[in-house]
Amino acid sequence: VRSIARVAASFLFSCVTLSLGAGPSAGCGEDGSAPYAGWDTAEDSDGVYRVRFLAPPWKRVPTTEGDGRIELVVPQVFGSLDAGTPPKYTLEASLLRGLALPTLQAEIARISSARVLRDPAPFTTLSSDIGFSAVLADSTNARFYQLVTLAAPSDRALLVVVELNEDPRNDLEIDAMLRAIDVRPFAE
Amino acid sequence: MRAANRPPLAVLALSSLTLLFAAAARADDPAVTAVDTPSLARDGEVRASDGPAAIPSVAAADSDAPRQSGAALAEPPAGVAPRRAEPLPAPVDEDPPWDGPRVELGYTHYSLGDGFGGGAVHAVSFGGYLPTGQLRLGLIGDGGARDYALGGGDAVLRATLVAGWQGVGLVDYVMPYVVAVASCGVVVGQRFATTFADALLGLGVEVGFEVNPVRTLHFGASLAHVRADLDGLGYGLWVLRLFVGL
Repeated sequence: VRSIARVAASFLFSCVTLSLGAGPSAGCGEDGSAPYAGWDTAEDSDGVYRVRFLAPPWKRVPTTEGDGRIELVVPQVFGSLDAGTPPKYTLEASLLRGLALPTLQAEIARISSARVLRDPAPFTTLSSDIGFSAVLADSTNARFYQLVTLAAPSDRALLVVVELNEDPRNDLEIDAMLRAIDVRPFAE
Repeated sequence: MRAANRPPLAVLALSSLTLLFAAAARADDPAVTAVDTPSLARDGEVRASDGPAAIPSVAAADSDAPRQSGAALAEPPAGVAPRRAEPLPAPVDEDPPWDGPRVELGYTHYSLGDGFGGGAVHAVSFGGYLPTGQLRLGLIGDGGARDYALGGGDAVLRATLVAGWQGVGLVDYVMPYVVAVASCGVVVGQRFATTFADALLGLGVEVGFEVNPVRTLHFGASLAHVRADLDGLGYGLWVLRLFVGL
């Protein structure tokens, strides 16, 4: 009986110690387990949309002030040196006049050397913005393209073009990045 | 000349046959068999299976121990003298318990969430602690894989220093302990086809127990709450560790 009492007392003491240790430490820093924790946000100059990206490896490329564009790249680097070769990934977002689907079809036609791997299909972001998505492959430069258009205010469409080396249909990271795009009105 | 000194073949054959018959007759005699090849069974009986070394000594034969076939030992047949058993070797003391550092091999599990539903870490741990009485002072290293929901897993390596109290002798066979833990490590993986290596630092509290069934063999479990930092992000880790050690 005394042994059981000792174990019970030790267990209670341990629980109290553990909870005391866990309590004060629970509020330090941003919660890394939260969705998109540690990701940065890029917002266009007019505040119409914003894109989340993980930096590094993504880097924002400066664009002309007021053109409504956002350009991001994942450069090929060796150590801290940019290899100068085409980036592993590029993402370009821009606002165009028109609706989402015709804008996407026009962009597919513009990349004439590419073949369509996935026809335009409905696409919804985490903030419930609605649009369309398609996947292309360009054999001339061995690059893949994922195109997304989203409805934007003032009869505009947000066109997002991601260029990469691998088939984006299996790339969950790119999918997570595209689904995090938010068009005004922004979700909280 | 040499042939004349040899014994005749008939004499040799007769001698051999005589010896064989004598041996066969001894083998058929149960009393003689019991004397030649006895052994002490668990209940004190003498059984014919072990070697002569197991023959009880004369002193043992005079004792009050229960005997059955032992009667044959008391009155051995003519020509068969009971042999004294070799003196029993002095009892050898068991090796004193190992009082050096204890080592442990274990399995460690915790979740270093990636924000997309992954982050579970499964690791193998190896470590130990010093024989410092109530003060528990040890070092544990673990290495494993972290699940990443959006791609290939990450590798996690960690070293943890523990210091605190352990209840030596508090309860038979069971030793609880409470320690502070400080850990450092590295997480290596890929994001968007780019390799990264981020430092993982942590501080926390661990409670656990060891069950010590025999000598230094022990097994146990522990639960720790560690506040960790990975590349500027905070994590509240609940670290479960199961281990076995010597």
